[in-house]
Amino acid sequence: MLALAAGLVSLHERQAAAQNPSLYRGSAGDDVFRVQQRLSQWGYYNGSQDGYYGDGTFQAVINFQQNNGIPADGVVGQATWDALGFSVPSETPAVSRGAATDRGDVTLLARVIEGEAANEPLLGKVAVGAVILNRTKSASFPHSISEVIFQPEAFESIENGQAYRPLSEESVQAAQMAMGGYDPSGGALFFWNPGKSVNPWIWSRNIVTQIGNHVFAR
Amino acid sequence: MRKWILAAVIGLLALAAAGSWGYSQYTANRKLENYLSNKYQRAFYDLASQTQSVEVLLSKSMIASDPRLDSALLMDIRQQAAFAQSNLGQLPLNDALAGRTAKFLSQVGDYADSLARQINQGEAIDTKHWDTLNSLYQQAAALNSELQGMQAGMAQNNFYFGEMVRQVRGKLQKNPDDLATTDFQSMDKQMQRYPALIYDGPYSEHLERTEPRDLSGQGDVDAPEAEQRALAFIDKQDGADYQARVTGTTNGRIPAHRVEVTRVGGPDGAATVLDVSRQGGKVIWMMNSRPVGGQTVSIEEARRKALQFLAGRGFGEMRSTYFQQHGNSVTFNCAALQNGVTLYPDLVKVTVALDSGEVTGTETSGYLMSHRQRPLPEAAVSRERARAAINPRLNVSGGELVLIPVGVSDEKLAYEFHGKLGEDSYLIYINAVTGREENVLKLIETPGGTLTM
Repeated sequence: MLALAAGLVSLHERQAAAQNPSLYRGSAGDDVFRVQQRLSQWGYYNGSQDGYYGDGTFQAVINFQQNNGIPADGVVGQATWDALGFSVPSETPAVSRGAATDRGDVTLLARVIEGEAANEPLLGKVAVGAVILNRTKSASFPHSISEVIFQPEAFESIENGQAYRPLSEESVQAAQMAMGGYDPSGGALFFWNPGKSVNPWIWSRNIVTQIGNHVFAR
Repeated sequence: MRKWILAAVIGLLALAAAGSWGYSQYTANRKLENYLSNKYQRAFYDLASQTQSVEVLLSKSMIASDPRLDSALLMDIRQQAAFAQSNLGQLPLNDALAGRTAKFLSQVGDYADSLARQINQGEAIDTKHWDTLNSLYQQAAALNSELQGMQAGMAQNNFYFGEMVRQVRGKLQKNPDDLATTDFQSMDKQMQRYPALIYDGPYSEHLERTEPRDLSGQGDVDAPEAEQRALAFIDKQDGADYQARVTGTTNGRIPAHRVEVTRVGGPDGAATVLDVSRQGGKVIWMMNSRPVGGQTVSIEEARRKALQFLAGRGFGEMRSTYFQQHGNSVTFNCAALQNGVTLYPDLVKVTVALDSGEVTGTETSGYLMSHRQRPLPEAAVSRERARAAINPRLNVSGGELVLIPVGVSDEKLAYEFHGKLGEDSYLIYINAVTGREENVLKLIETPGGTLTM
């Protein structure tokens, strides 16, 4: 849902991260539940995960603390939270899945551009990237970039490994521009090099334009 | 004598080595072939069982009368159709072989989704919807029976996908006529018999044919006029002369003249390319692919340049809503304003080179498709009341009036709030007429700019 890209003003100030509360015998609630869940995943606890810090949970915490070199007091304090893998994010922002996904998509797009259009002008490279993005929006094709790219027989350079060459800066730039909405292909779903042998049915498509050595069609 | 024996021994050894190498290659190849064939079979069997689920769910959705049950069934249809399409996409079938089938699966899921949303907003399934469901049910049943037939063929012939696998190995026949491809082709032909489906979803047929609103009612421009428009549009450097030349026509969503503009005496290959719409003579996109040097212009300066550029080209009042930096260029998204309301659908993208502040690219198709003087509704809900509808856990600021796209063809007047929860930032849109929460977007900071998801 990158479609509605909106502006933001002052989102830079980082709020003080919330602390995990200390838990001890008699505590109850979601935090206790999380601890019970983790302890049972790791084989320390086999009682019921009821969100109540009773004797069973107490014993499991003691065992866990002993095994992890934490003072075995049966209290889930910061050190125990950390050892359980629930540490509060520090100064460096955690890697956001969304951002990571997006960067991956740009690289993937750039790979196909490099594989299919390395010798084409920038305009032709952006157009190839746009075709892939147009496919994700078409009913006749899969709806994610990776599914479109790795569809069997879809792109020669993916099938024969040409796409795994080192990426040129121009291919990355073209991928970014295509992701940014530039579409010199005019909404095309297909492109091919008329100098190479292609399946004849492709010529029955509605031709939009030619850029460099590629014909683009809808 | 000795030499002869030695040569024979070496020869035999070489032969044995080549043989064993060949054999290991052969087994490795067989393994890969089997692996691929198994992968295809799994995808096929999943596709068949998910299509069957779609058929059954569609028939249930036609007779269920409780809206809650209906909406749950529709969500299941959407999910099963998405899985089915994903599995179809893993089979080595090109668009000529499976394009219509894929389209059907997209549209079933998409239609179910749009209907479920309508039901959730209190609408009942009327006759029109019922007829559509019925038609989809017939199509799903036909597709299902084709797939069942293929499944039977597969059970009798273990090498059903063999030809497809061998194709991948490179022994490509130009028109493979093995079982699977022939069967898929005839199935796809079957699917073509059904009429186009029009509804309120992103994969609906009618969207292919939407007209650019900003150009409606305007006359066509010829090639010389398109050249003039292109010359008037580009970001000209002081004192330089430019030449424009139409190099062809493009027959895309918005038919256009393709124009190349070059600077007289400028370096070769540094042309600016533009598509100028045939109707109305407006620039759809512009791209100058010159290399960009080191940054000397700040983002703020570039933003001013971008807005100034648009103002000088008849775009009216625009607001920069978002930017993304790539290399030494930065692209701004600028939305039109009407009475202070940001019109998010009417979007123009402007790329500025940070070495000189020159505008090197624009993309206006969003603006051309949707811009018009709109009758905006009155905000019936106050900003304070809208704010009260937001989850109290969020730390809220902002609250400007904006027009947001909802679904594919609908637009809603909404208050835009910024919300913060711990480290995470969100944009929350509250409908300014009904007070309902329309959308929540998550903001993700990246080195190049802020993404919304």
